[in-house]
Amino acid sequence: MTPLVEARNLSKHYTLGRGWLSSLIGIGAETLRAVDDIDLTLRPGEILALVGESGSGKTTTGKLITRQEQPSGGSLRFDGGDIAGLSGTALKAYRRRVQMIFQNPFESLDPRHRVINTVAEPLAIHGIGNAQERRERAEAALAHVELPPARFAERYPADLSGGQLQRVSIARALVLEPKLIVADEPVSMLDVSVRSGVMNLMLALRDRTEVAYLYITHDLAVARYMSSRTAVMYLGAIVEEGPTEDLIARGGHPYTRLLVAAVPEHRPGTRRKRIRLAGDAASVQSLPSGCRFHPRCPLATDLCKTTAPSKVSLGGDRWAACHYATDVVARESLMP
Amino acid sequence: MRLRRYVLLRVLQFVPVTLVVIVLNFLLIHLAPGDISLLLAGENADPAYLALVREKFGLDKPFLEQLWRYLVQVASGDLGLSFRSRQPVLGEILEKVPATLLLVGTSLLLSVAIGTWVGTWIARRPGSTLDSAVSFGAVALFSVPVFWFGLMLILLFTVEIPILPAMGMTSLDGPRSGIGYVLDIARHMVLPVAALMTVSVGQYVRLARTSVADVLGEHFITTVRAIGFPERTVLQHYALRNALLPVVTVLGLQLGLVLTGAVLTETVFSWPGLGRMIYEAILARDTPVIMGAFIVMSLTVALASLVTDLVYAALDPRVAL
Amino acid sequence: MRQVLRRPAIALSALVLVFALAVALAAPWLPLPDPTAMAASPYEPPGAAHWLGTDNFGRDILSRLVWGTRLALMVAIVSSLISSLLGIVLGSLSGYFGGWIDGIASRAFDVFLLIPTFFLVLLIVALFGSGIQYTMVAIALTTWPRSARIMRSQVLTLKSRTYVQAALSAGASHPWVLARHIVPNGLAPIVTDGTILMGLAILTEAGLSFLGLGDQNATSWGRMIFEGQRHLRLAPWMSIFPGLALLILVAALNLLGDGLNQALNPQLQRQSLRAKRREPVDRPSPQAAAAPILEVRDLRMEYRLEAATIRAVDGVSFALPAGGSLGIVGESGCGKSSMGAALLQVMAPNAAITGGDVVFAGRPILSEGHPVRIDGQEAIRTIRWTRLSTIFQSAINALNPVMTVQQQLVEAYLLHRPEAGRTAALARIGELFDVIGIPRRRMASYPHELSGGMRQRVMIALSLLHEPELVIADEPTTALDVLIQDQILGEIDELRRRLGLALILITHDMGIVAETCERVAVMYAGEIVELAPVERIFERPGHPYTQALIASLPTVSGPRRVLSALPGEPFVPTGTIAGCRFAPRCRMAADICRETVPPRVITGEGHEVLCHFAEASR
Repeated sequence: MTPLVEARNLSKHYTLGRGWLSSLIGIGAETLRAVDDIDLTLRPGEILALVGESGSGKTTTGKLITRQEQPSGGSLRFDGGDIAGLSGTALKAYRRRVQMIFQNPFESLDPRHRVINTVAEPLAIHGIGNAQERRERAEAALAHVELPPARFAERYPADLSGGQLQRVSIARALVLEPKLIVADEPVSMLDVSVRSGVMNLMLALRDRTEVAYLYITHDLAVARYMSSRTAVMYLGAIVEEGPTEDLIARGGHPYTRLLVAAVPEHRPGTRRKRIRLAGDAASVQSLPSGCRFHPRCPLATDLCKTTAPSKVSLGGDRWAACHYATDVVARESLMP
Repeated sequence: MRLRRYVLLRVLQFVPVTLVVIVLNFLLIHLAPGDISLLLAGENADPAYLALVREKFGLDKPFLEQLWRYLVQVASGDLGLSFRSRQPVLGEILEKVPATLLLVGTSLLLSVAIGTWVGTWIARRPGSTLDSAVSFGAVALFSVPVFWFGLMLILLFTVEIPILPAMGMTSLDGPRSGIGYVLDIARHMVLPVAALMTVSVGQYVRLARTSVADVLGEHFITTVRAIGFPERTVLQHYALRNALLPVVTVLGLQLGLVLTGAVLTETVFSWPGLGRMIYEAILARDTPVIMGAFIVMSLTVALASLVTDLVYAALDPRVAL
Repeated sequence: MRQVLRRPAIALSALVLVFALAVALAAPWLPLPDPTAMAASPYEPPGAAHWLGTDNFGRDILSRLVWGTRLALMVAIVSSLISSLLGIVLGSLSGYFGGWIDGIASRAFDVFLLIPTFFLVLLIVALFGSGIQYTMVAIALTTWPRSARIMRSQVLTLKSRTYVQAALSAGASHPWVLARHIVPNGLAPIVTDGTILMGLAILTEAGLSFLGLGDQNATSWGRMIFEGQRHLRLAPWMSIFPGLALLILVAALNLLGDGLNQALNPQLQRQSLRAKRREPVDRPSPQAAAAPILEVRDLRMEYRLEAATIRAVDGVSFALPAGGSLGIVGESGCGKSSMGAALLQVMAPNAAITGGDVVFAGRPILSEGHPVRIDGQEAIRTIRWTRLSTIFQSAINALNPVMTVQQQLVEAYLLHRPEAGRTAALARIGELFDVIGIPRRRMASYPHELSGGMRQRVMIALSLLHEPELVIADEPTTALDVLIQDQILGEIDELRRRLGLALILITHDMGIVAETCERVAVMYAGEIVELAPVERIFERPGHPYTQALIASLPTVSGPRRVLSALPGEPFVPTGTIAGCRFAPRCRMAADICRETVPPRVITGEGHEVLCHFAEASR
């Protein structure tokens, strides 16, 4: 089966320019490696979670796949065809097949447009149907996200709650019947009690339409609920990938293990010990040598300081980018 | 090091402003109807002087060479000769600067001091009746046509209740030195300074008010209040210090309006400064003086904005240096 | 729109402008003498025949004033229209496309903005002659950078809005996005500034005419004042009335711009709302006695909003033993942060405590909603920061941005221990930095030079400065990444145990209280709906809301289960409230829930539930 999305050595580097006057008096530019040489595969109808902290490059990866950003290197294929070099009408045609849902529901909808017009806008952009047909399809999409069109179609975003706004965003993404939806932290700004409703809706829609999701989140618990496979990103690189349950139960990369341990939640009968980390995260502007996680890693050795680890297979389709992955995955705990 | 780099960058940005002003001036001369040499030499100039001007500006040369010559001339401080006095324009302008500086400086200083004080005072209770009234007054104040207000002051304090002089900078028969001289000038300054202040004092009241009210709404003010600093310290030590930053920037941008006000005020009060000179140049169609004034005024405003930016950078650690 | 017109300043200035416009349009048909006819006798003072008098040529001043309105409005409208259009187009393009286009364009805006309008106009008029068309073009040419700069910054903000990103990723073209999403949403401040620009244009034209550079053929207010100047003693009305007309018209424009600006900026509106606070009451100095560190009874706090009054904290009671830890959880708007602010008595201007008692270590600090005064001093001031302190969320502006961290900590130390001196203050701060794990050399940093985690550690150091007995931490880790959050929570927990602190931790995250607190209070719509030891909350939650919250939490441990969702929207506590606030969303709700306020039921050791069916759900 052809993968839906296949990225190989995908990179996005930004040059932090400082204006022509600065370059005139000799202030050089810096390179920011937001996404650095990643491989990613997504099968049709699959849900892949992309997990990472702020600055890990997970959002940029989403923007590369939706082609809101142009890759600086590597290959990117969708349904077998190259999309890294698309432009003009070909790019516009691609946008029909891939949609995005954004994090902040309060900024996702134009405050001056009625809900129905927002949902119908993608159809208008692609010149699909006449006004009447567009309206009918938009109403159908609203019904699918459990917002009865009779009550919601003519409202403005200011009259809706966060959960309802996010449902409108989902309807807008669905109206073009895409094959892939990139969802960037779609529930992180919602209150807990409405969060699960939106997640359940997304899962139900997947079951009905066979759309695939790239689900971007910082929250491992959400990743576990939503996805079958998870990729963990740290400072622009994917450090571990595998079936979500296995990866969370026993990660092969120390960073994954620390992330899972740091999730605050009620774990009956245990009072866990924290590992004191050696400081805050580095930034992609000043990547450490060797393994990018070594300054904070409790298991780091001299090898980690000098040599960047390559992928270590952990059986099946699991791997981790750590010199000691097979050792880590066998350990009960990271505590020395 | 970073500060020095910032200063250098900011000073370099002064160059395009200068260029634009001079080129604009040059283009306008060329676009204007009529003979250029007559614009530059005056309509009743003698043929010898006319020929001299043609030669100097290279008026028979290609356009770009003319522009170059003009740039070089202006850059070396040569703004041409006044039609009326046949004296260099730059010298005439510089001669008038002290009188204008006295007027503009005094009124700006008073405006900033009074404006900031009143603005801070009403910012403590935004939305109160006092605040609404003062804010309303401030808006009304910067809507006042300054020249008309000057006339009204004259009408009131010179015609109806003759207590203050309305013309010039000194009395004809007044003392020429010592404390008497200073007092005489001070007496003559009262009305023009009051008139000129209407241009800016309202702006500073509003600016200080908004700025202080904004800062008072910030989280760190909640922090210092919670720590227990008395309200007076919160206002004067914490809020005002942060709120003064925008006031500093506007000082530079406002100067253009204040200089405009100065021209009109000096005209009304016959104040022997730049404004008066410009007015007389206009009456006499003395183009080189008007062009010179435009260049000097533009560069003054640009310089003021440069200085305020540098002051801002020195005061605010967040400015990306 | 109706809302906007309700502001008196806006209504008044709109009225003035409509009147001016009507007069200007109707001028030819008004029963007034020809403004240029020298028919009457000169220097006639205002009277029945000529309401505003006549000038030195015997022309009717009222008529000239009316015709002058035409000129003033034409100058205002034409020049600000040209200026705004230029600004909108150039500003949008510059802001939207960015890169080198923006680099050059925005620098050009800055340069042109520095050119003083009036002097350029002077020059143009001196070179080209004094036609009104030159004046208008010159005004437009020097003011457009104002609109361009505003539009540019609007576009810069709007283009990163996700609805613009969404349209682009759906395949929309740049012109589509600009025309449908960016320009319409960015216009408001241009319109606002446009009115101020109109005032500026009118004043500029008047100033020019006053200098004798106006259009000789037009009737201009500035020219009238220019003519009146020479007859100031003989006929002051010649200059008084046109000046007044100028003042009123320009002030109307400025006030309109100002009012619109305020109406469009909710931040400014909110500042002006104030709630009435209760006066302090005197109480005798208390006797020392063994008491809980904090006792709260029936605490109430309200927010005054434009439309309504929100009862953000509505009858909250709890007690906290010395050294104990209590987590307050709830969703946004449940009143948890308001309660923290009320305990500290540090509230937004539109908030007021309206009831309740608070006793800190046997010392009353709030009595029936009144701040308590002991020996002439407000009790809260004697304990705040020395015995009761707080950790705010690590927002970038929770610390003063223009002072170094060290300066701020030193000042806070010396405020309560002025006798200690700077050296002692620095020693104490160094000690605290060691405790919370910040290198001492970072003391001289400004807040923006520190990472989010560092800033939060500084906030913790600040709260521990005077060795308090109770710390209220309000969402102390919300803005932080998971690993840093975990570290900071670990540090707070360790410090609490080591120093014997009592802690109130306010958070939206059930997981955080699970790991940090001994007892948990769940808040909903201003009330504590359940209060229990932490294990009991998770293992035997008594309130349907708590049950629903826990059932909706995804986890990384334990078996994966299907999450249930809570229908409906949070209840907003305002007006009179009948029945249970959670009833509209509750799966167990019966008639009694909608009619009768639920009782507080004790369902076990230290476990209370605000529910009619608390027994049943046990």
